Amino acid sequence: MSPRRIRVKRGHLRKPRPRFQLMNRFTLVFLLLISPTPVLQAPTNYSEPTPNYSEPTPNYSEPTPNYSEPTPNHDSFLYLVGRKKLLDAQYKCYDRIQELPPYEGEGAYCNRTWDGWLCWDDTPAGVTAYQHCPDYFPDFDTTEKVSKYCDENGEWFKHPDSNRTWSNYTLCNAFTSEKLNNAYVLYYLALVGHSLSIAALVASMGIFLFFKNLRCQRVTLHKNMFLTYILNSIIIIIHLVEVVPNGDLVRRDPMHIFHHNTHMWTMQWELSPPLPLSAKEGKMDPNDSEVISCKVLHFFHQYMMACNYFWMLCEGIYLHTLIVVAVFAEEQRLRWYYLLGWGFPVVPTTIHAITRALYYNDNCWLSVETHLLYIIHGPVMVALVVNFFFLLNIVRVLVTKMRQTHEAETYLYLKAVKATMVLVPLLGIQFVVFPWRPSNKILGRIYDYVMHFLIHFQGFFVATIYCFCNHEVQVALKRQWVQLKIRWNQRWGRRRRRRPANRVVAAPRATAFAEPGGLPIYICHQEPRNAPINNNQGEEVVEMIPMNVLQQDPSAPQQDSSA
Amino acid sequence: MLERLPRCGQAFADMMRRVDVWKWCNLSEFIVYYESFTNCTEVETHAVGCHWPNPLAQSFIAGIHRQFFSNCTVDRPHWEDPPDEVLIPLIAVPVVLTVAMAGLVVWRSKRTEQLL
Repeated sequence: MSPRRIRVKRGHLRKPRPRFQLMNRFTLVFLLLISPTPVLQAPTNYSEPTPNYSEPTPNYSEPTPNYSEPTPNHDSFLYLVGRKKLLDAQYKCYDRIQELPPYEGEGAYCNRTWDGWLCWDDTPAGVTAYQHCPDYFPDFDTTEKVSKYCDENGEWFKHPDSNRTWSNYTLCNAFTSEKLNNAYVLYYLALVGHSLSIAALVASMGIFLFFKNLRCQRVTLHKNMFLTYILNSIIIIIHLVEVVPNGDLVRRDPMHIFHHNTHMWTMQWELSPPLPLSAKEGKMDPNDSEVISCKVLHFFHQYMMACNYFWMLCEGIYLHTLIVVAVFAEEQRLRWYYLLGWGFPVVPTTIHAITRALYYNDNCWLSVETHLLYIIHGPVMVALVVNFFFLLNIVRVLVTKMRQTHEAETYLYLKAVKATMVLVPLLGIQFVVFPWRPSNKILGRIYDYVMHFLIHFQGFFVATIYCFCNHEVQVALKRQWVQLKIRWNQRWGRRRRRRPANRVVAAPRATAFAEPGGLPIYICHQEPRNAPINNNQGEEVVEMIPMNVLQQDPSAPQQDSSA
Repeated sequence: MLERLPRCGQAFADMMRRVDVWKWCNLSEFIVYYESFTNCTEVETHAVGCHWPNPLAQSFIAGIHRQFFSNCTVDRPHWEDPPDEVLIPLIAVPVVLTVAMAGLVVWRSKRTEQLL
């Protein structure tokens, strides 16, 4: 073949056709399914006409102007919501004061009372009663405690300065600014992490789609997994970006979830507290579209989360089938993997959605106190454990083989599995370590940062480990870069010595395919053995020849064709 | 104070007449009036130089509650998990399905040659 003809052919083959249809379709459908952002509005009840008293006391009309006009101002809105909660609590308290049976203990006790903010039951003398701080105000941390001391005489503690009954609410907003700063740091960490993850994942998807010689079944599985990570990160970023301007982050301490729940992955959700304040917060009639869009988004979030882990499981199963079950001769049918990765997570997510709607239909389904969450978390944990065992089995088989046969090939397989071996513990460690958050302040903070870093940068790790650190990918990228440089030089008419460039490029190619068995290092199944490999190599050869022709090195092409 | 508080109660009663009786147990329907009533008691208490809340005001408000809301069952927005007989199968079924699916995928990918 004359170089010229090959060059022409090369022109055909080298026309890049990025195939993003699948990704576009997914993102489009996804975006269409998300309802528009619910608009915050002051509760409509407050637009009722202001009540007039028969007694002309102007004080009463003062609060009402706020209620007659729904203001989009966040401060007054938060005030309204806080005030509403307070009144609600007061109403319930007085009802409780009536309903509770009389005090049955002996000795002096303090009477049940409403102190203006919280309800206190009958308390024996000498005892301090504790409650969680209310959430009426943005700077009140609901994980802190309020204390009220009942003295030995059966009287509630009176503050010495004012000589009036006093409950200790000082802890509620004592540390708030510090915690708030911390929360904001973590919030930005989450934003950066997910954005970086999306960028890295999109780049690696691009690489996998662009370089045809990288294509194989394992890479297809990678691409699907990357897609789940991308979609997951998008959902989370949408929440994070929509929430903070509403001031909601201020009202919900993200740290609180560390103390109270053991579900790490819901943290990604908890960082973005609910958007529709109106929905069920104060038993008001929520705007239906707000509530439903929030829950739909939650549904998709859970689905994506489950897909993440199930695609990891698919990767593990694929490797296991490839290596341990030793069906290298045939190509596996990927449809079952697609079913497990995309189809199966629908099942637990739907079951959770239905039962949540029936039994625990709280605001935005955000509560993590319910055991119904295990409907999703149970299968995810099982998937992780099963994956872990598959990988252990793979390692065991490979190590045994290595000991028996001392084949370099087995060592190569081990290297290829290395990526997955690193990733599964990385994803799984959060579930193991999470319950043991240190209570020490500084250690706790370090723990928070490390865990948040691990979680939010997951996509980035996955992309790095599976793509950027992959030898074949690096080789392909280097080659592409060299070709670009050559074309650039050609365009600008500079004659460079191409000899050294060819050597640089030829060598890694040769080593990659000179490995025994012709299996590239990243275990890509190519089937049937003859035709596609030749095609791939034909491509490479075609790419290589113009340079080789100029190099006049007879050794390189022969090496390629023999591998 | 004892003389002035009933005025608040009266004003509240007047306002509550505007609300349908069956709505009296739903705070969202009349929360504005309730707030006005609360503010009224506060103001009256401060007018006589006392602090709010105090036992007198508290018993007065409790009386008002008895008058208007004694028949209300305060529905707690307390969500509850389903009973264990429902919850455990709900959790166990997806878990078992997961294991089954994983096994199915492993089995199917082993038998590709027969499938083909």
